[in-house]
This record gives sequence, C-alpha cells and structure tokens, in this order.
Amino acid sequence: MDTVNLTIDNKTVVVKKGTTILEAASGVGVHVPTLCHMKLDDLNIENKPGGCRICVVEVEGRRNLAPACCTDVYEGMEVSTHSVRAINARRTVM
Amino acid sequence: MTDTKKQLRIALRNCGLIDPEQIEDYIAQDGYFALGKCLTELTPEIVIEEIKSSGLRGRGGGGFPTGLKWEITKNVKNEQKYVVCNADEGDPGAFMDRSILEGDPHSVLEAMAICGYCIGANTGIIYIRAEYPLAIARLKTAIKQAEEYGLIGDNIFDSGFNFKIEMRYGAGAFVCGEETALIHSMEGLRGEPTVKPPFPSVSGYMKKPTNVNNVETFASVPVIINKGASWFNKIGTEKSKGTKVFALAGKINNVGLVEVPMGTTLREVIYEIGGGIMNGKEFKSVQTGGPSGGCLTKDFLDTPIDYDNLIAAGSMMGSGGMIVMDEDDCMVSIAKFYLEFTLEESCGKCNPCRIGNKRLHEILTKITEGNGTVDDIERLKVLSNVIKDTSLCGLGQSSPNPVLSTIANFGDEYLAHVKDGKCPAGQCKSLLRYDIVEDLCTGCTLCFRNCPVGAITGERRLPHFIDQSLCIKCGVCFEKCKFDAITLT
Repeated sequence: MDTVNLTIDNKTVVVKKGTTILEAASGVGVHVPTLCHMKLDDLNIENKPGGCRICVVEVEGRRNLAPACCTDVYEGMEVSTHSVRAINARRTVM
Repeated sequence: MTDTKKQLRIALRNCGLIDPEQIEDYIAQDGYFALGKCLTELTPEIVIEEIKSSGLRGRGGGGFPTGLKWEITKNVKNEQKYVVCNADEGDPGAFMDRSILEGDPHSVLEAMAICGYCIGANTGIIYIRAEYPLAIARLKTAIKQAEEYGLIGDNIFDSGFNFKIEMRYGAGAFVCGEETALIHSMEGLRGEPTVKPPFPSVSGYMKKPTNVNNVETFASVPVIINKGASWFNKIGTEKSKGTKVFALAGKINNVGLVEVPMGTTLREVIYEIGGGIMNGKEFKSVQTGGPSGGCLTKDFLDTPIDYDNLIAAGSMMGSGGMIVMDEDDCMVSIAKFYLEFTLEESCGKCNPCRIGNKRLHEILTKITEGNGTVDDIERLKVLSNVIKDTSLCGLGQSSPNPVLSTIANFGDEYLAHVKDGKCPAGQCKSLLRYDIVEDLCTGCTLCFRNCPVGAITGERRLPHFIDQSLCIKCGVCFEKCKFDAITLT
C-alpha cells in the first residue's frame, strides 16, 4: 500500500494514500471541527458533501482554503489546521 | 463597427460570412481539412504537442492550457472517454458562444472530433442551454450534414476512427457552466458542483474521463492545426496567446462582439473599436468577466488585456463580457446588481456562497438606503475574503469580486454613502434630497400639481415647500420646474 508523508501543524504524519486531511489529523490527535461530515462506522456509511465549509484548513501553496473532510492528502503537503486565516474563516462561516 | 482594423477574427472567422446551414460553405473555407490532416497524417501525440505549443488557453474563463488538459485526459486509461463542449453560456449580456454556434457550428464539431481523436474518445456531447433554439437547430443540421458527408460517424477518412456527437440541453442555470455541475446536469442529477479532485479529466461524465472545453476554445482549434502553432503563438502576449472575443455592452457607442488579439489595451477596445462612451460622457469604469469579474477604473485603461493582467488588476477574463459604465453609474449599486445575480444563481450547496452572498447583499442594500456605517465597509471586505477563501466552486470563489474591486477602486464612493449620506452619481434614491430654493420659487404651483404623493405644499405666488417625510424622490418636480428652483443634493 502506498503511503504519503505530510505535516499537519508541524507534526510529521505518514498515512495511506487516499486518506483525507481530517482522518490524517485525527490520527495525530489534531481536532478539526466538522458539521456536515457524517461517518457511521458501524453501518459503514460516510457522507461528505463538503458543503458546510466548517472544516476548512490552510494548505501551503493552495489559493483557497481546503475542506479537510473531503480533500485527499498528497506527498509533501503542509497543513495548518488552526491558522488565523482558517479560524477566521470558520468563525465567519459559522 | 467603425474600426475593424484592430480586430482579428479567429474564433469568429466564418461568422456572418458563410451559410451555417450549408456544410459546403464551411468546407470551402478549409473546413474539416484540419480533421483530415490530423486523422491521416498526424498522431494524437503530435496534435496535442501542436495545441500545447500554440499556447491556447481555455476561453471559458479559467484559462487552463487546453493542450495540457487534452494530454491529461489522454493519459488516463479507460476504454470509454467523452468530449464535452460547454455551451452553457450564462453571463448576462454575453453571447459569443451563441454567435459561434449559430454562425459557424461546423468549426465546433470539427474541433470536437479532433479532440476525440487526441484523447481517445468516440463520443462528443454538446451541453447547450435550451434558451438557444436557433443554435440548437443549426447544430442539429450541422451534425446531420457532417454525418452524411462521413465527417462524423464511423471510420472517418478511412482512418478507423469513430466519433459521434450528441446533444444535451441545460435549463439555463449559471452554475452549470462549472465543469462538475455541468456533468451532473448531463447525467440527470442536480446541477451542483462537487469537490475537485477528482477532475473531470479523470472521472467525469458517467465516471469516465471527460474533456470539457468551451465553444470558443474549440472554435480556435481547427485554425491552429491548419495554420500551425507557430502562427498562433505569435499573436497575443507572453502568457496568453491568440485572440479573445468580447461582448461589449453598457454605455458605449458600438455594442456587440469584438475579437481582438490578446494584449490589446482596454482603451483600444473601448475608444477605438467601441467608439467611446455614449453621449460624450466621462468614462468611469469597465467591468470585465461577467458577474464575477471586477470593476476597473480608468487607471487600468492602458493595461494590455490578458488572463494574468486582468487577475493582477483584481478582475478576470471570464467568458469575455465587458460592460462599460459612465459617470452616472453608482458603483455601490453596480456591486449590488451583480450580487443579486450571483445570489439568484447560487446553487445553495455550500454555506459561504449561499448565506455569505446574501449577507453581502443585505449590507450593500443597507448602504444604498443610507443606513450604512464605516464598519459596514470593513465587514464587506472581511466577509468577501472569507467567501472567496472557503467556497466550493468557482461561482462562490469569485462572486465577491465586484464588491472587493469596487471598494478598492471606488472606496471614496462607499465613504460618501456612509459618511455624508450622499450618492455621488445620484443613483441611490434614498440618499437624494430635493429642496425648493425660496428665492427662485415663483409659486407657479406646477410642482404642487405634479407631485404624485402630495408632498409639496404652498400658496399660489408664494414659495412652496417639500415635506421630506412624504417625498418619494421621484424627481418629477425637479424635471417640471421652469425656474430651476429645485435643487438635488
């Protein structure tokens, strides 16, 4: 299985390819708030329309903010989940 | 058009010159020669290389390099691929795609077949809005004729390449011009965008690799193949090659479509081709890129038009709408007008676009009604930037552009609204005030008799007065007064 190296809030993370930022972040204990994302493990249901934009995080080199719940990680990605820009955006969206 | 010298028609090359319902006319203009050349002499790799080196960029607004898009789609392994032509033209006042489809439908069909050959697709689909009945009728005729001539169908030019073209009709939603929303609409689903990636090049129509290009982009392709990439990339600026069609509209003498080489300045387009501002008024602003573009001041008149310069100036190329405004236009109201459009057309899927734009509109309404504060302007900026940052698709990411660009370029006009309670252009009715100058009023009662709401009182031969609480600012008294005794402030 291919793995991807990235950093989330300066923490180095190694995850499987195809993992979302949200899943990768929860793996290293970083909490990203969500609203419309729904995952029911028991029923194996996951719904992520990416519409509420509460989970947006800042990704280095990206023009706009990325929704953590439905953005896949890539090699060398630098994510900051609680930058001023991301928090301000979340507050306003809320 | 008074001055056609500055124009160079590539995408519109045949429009108005040939009979769009006669395939022979198109063939006589070297039509389908490019397709023949590609199928019989060139490999898909060479054609893609040619398009890449021509520097052609997507004319729908995004400006993504067309050759690169084709290459990405080609490199995805799948038995079934699609070519989609985006003819869902929704900008108010823009009609370049319609003109091409009505005037020269075969050029689009030919280019779609070339694209299909390059990426390995055997089906092309034209997504066109149902509001374009003439374009649909002509496309149908064109497809039928091309099939009869064997230029579309099975084994074209004995090359073993099969290509058929179908049509899908859109209901006229602006957001369906966005690739993913367009594909959903074609599949019969709701016309809502989804998160990219996956890009349509990887997983598009029916989850198959799909190459989506705009009408104007396709229309430029056959010429590039015929005349060569080196001919095409001599035209234009360093990063934007070729020509662009603009729909000139607004307070300008010559309205209509113009096609100019990239790098032409706004001044040349507006004053030389467009014939200047109506009624000899002063130029104030030009809005490029449709409802989500920005308003540029006269400082930008000498900016050469290309994708990157317009973005640097705070606007965008968009699909090529160009709306000219004169001194009588209030920029706050203009921003509000555009926002009304995006508000209507927002699909409502993501929060920032659905609610944020509504809030922006409310604040702008507050300002135009004279209840705004200085803080409101700051709030507009903050909210606009968040909407741009967090929206799901291109619609929301660009919808606050008119607000941001008018604040940046016409900030004093906003301040006049909120601080002095004045609308410099005299457009915001709530901020106007009509008064009667006592010394000039002769008491002729003309205004009294014409006022529709009875706000004017006074005795014959004595100065009259306007009751501000009743006045609806219709301006009738101002127009009727023969003694210029009524002032507008």
